[in-house]
Amino acid sequence: MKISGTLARFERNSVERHMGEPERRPDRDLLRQFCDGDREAFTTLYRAHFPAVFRFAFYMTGDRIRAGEITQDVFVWLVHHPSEFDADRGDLPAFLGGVARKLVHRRQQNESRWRPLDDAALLPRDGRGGDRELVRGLERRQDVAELRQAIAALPERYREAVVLCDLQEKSYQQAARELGCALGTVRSRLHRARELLVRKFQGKKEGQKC
Amino acid sequence: MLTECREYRERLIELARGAVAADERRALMAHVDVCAECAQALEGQLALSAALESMAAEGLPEMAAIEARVLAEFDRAAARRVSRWVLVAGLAAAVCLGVVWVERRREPVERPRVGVTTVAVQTAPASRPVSVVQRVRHKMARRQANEESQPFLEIPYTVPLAPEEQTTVVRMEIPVAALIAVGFSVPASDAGAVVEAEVLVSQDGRARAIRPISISASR
Repeated sequence: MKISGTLARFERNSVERHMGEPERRPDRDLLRQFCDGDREAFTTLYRAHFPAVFRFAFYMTGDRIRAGEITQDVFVWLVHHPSEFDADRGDLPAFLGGVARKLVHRRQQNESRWRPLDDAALLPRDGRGGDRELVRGLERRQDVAELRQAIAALPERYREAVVLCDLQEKSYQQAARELGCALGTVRSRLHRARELLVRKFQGKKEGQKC
Repeated sequence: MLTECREYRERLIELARGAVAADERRALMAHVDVCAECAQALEGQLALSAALESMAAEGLPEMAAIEARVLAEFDRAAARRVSRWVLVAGLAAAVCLGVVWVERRREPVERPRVGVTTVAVQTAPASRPVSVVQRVRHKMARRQANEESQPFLEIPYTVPLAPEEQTTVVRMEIPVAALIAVGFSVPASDAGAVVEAEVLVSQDGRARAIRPISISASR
């Protein structure tokens, strides 16, 4: 069956996604050396964590330039506040993710007054018919770009759930810890976000047909 | 949508995410086979998962400029940190120098002082310690005495050294009898014994003080 075949693609992620990441012990040593002024240690830390921070900012904003600026701000903030990181409270990736979240939130609050409200397509619709076309449509490259924009347009709480759980493949538990909310809350936000995304594309396809 | 379907929808999302065990997957698929709406919903979620996967697999852009800016900020911060430490160290040094300067101004002019010292001279092989009480006046002698374990003892009836007079220290063996002769009280049983001592010689070539080091029996 077609659906069963498609499902097989996603099975391999199920175990990895929910086992949790191993602790990055070298981060502590690198951070200590960086606090002592070791440039090499800081460069190693930066290169190790840049991709995750950038991806988070990129998925949250849907804009490479903004994502680059936010990533830069995160690491500049780390340069000036290394002592804010408490290894007993979590690992460095989660800490940097938290800093990135705050910066994204602050930036979007500042920008929100200038952005037109264009979330009408996210409103629930009568969901009949368009999904098969969606399967074909979403696999196209331009639809990935549209998906990125759609994610960036989601309400923040839903967007964070999609970015952390689906794009960064964190477990519900890790995402809940980073977001400071209950595991069930993360799951329900993610489900809601995914429904909104599917409906958005469904509405788009229907609009194109007309 | 049926109430039953509503319950299935949440699990179908997890199914599309690949987070459902095999048993549950079979049960869900059995429902999807008989429910067209849920089949469509699953298809939509699977398409979304595929798109999200493609999105997550996208390569990162070249961000050398960001790295350069971040590292430049690190260098600036490091330089500021170093200069802050230099400033703190400079201030600390200035405070210390100030305290030393004030203390030195308070200190009275150094003059030869009268000191009372007890010196034990060990006889060889084993005899009673000898106590000698003498006054030591010379600054040099006193400074050297502090550096060494025992002070110089002024030779009785000699002219005291001038405050800044230069002296020479000579190590020699002195018969106990000679020490007694110049006025030291050495209650040694063996008058022929020899004391190894450092002798402080003044500029005029006269011995002014001695510092006993050891005593040996007569040869």
